[in-house]
Amino acid sequence: MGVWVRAAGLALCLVLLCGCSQESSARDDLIHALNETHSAIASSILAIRLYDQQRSTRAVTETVLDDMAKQAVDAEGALEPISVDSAQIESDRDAALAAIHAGVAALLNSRDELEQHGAVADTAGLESAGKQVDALLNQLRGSQ
Amino acid sequence: MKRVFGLALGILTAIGGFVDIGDLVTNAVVGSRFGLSLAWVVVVGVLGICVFAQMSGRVAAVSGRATFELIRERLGPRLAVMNLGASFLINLMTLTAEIGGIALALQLVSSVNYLLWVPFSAIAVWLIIWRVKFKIMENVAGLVGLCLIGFAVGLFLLGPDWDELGRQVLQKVSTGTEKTSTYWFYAVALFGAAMTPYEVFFFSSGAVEEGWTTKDLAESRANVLVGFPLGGVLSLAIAGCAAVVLLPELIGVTTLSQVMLPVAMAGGKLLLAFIILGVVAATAGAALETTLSAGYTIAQFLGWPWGKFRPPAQAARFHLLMMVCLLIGLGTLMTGVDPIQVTELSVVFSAVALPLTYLPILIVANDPEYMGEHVNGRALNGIALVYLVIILAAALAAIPLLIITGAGQ
Repeated sequence: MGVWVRAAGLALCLVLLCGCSQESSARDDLIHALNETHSAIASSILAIRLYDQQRSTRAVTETVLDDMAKQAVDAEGALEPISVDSAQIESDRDAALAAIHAGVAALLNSRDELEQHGAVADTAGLESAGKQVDALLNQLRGSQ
Repeated sequence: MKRVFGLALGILTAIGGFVDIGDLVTNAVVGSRFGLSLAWVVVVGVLGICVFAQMSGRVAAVSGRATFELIRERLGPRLAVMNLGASFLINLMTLTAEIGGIALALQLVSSVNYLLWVPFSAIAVWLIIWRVKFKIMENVAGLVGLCLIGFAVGLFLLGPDWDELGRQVLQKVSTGTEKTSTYWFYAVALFGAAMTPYEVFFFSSGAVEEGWTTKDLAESRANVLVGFPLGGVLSLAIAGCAAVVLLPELIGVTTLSQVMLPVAMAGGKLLLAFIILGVVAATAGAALETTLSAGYTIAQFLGWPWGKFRPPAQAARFHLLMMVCLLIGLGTLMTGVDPIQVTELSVVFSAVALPLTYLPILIVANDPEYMGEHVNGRALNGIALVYLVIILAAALAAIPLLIITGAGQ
């Protein structure tokens, strides 16, 4: 009898551990995707600022924006396979998707604007998306 | 006077030729994520490559034969084939990364997608190997590669808080997002980047190409012992620029274009132009060296005629082999695989292959039959043995760290 109780206890512990680690792994994936997006947005803002100050060339700025847009698109794609097994994770994932999507849109806009007009009028869109990403990152890190 | 000029030229080309795409990317990634807290790995790696490069150069100068020929003769074909397999595959991976590096640098000049530059880069490398003399090829790539000194200039122009950088060297920087396993993964990657095996094969085969004798030992030693550490300083400057500009903004480097941002901030378009020229020269130089090393390793193992000192018709299989390797690298890149990821993997797998590369060199350098009075001394053997322990530890840790960290993510 004692053996069965211990075995059941052990199984319960394993299930709980697996559940916790799965949740933690999903949260790690969300944080990773948000980090990548933060990095892409911050790089692009810096590249545009340097170009405006005539410290950088158009080719380098275009390459940075192109690379960073791809990085944010990849980060968005990486959220798709995350399995949702709790309401909390689902809500976090939806918030992350929204923030990253805003970042992708702002990055693509800036890239196209530079390619078509040779300059990016302002970085407000990127900055706003960056703030959204950073706020969610802080919230997720705080809950870890 | 001629000797002094030759010595200075050798040292300058050693500095300019030290940094390749692996050093560029890995140091920038590490600087942006860990500041200068992994600077100690660069120091350990540079000392290691000095120990083994001067050893293989001495073997070539004393025996008049390249390291790989002697390894097969001394250890027998069975053991030597393990050395060959590991070295050749890592070299092929590095060659692919370097071709990708040239293409990425050309994209920074032109805005044209790097994939369109990949075939051009591979053909240019082949033409240079086919037509240009060894000495000219080595000196031009090394001297133009000196433009990368712009990273050190840039670091000074950024006016960093030197005390803070000093603190980063002495303690692990934490942004709160990096795990200890990731720190050690990048330690192994940096070590692999500094001690890339092709550098040693190229150095020893180059000694035979240039007809070094025991009279050239002092010059060869000076090239290694002065040139490589100064090249290591360039690596630290790359990490320093990233640490000053990108780390505070929590920008993790994932592309070559991001490496240019601190440079533009520090010195504007002029410095940027210097650095891009330096990157093209450094990656092109390394692509030439890895392509030649691919030919050297196989041809020396199989006893085929090899070397650029022979006309291509007299070393047809050697040249054909290099063409095939370039085509493999070109084909791999044209699949759309990210050259930066190839680079990161190549430096990690370099670390895995290090024991198979460096142990045989140590054995040959201790054999009086080949080396006569120039065998390793006790002190050098002691240092080399310590390095073998470090190399073995890095090799054993590389794959588990790669899996645990998801390649440093």
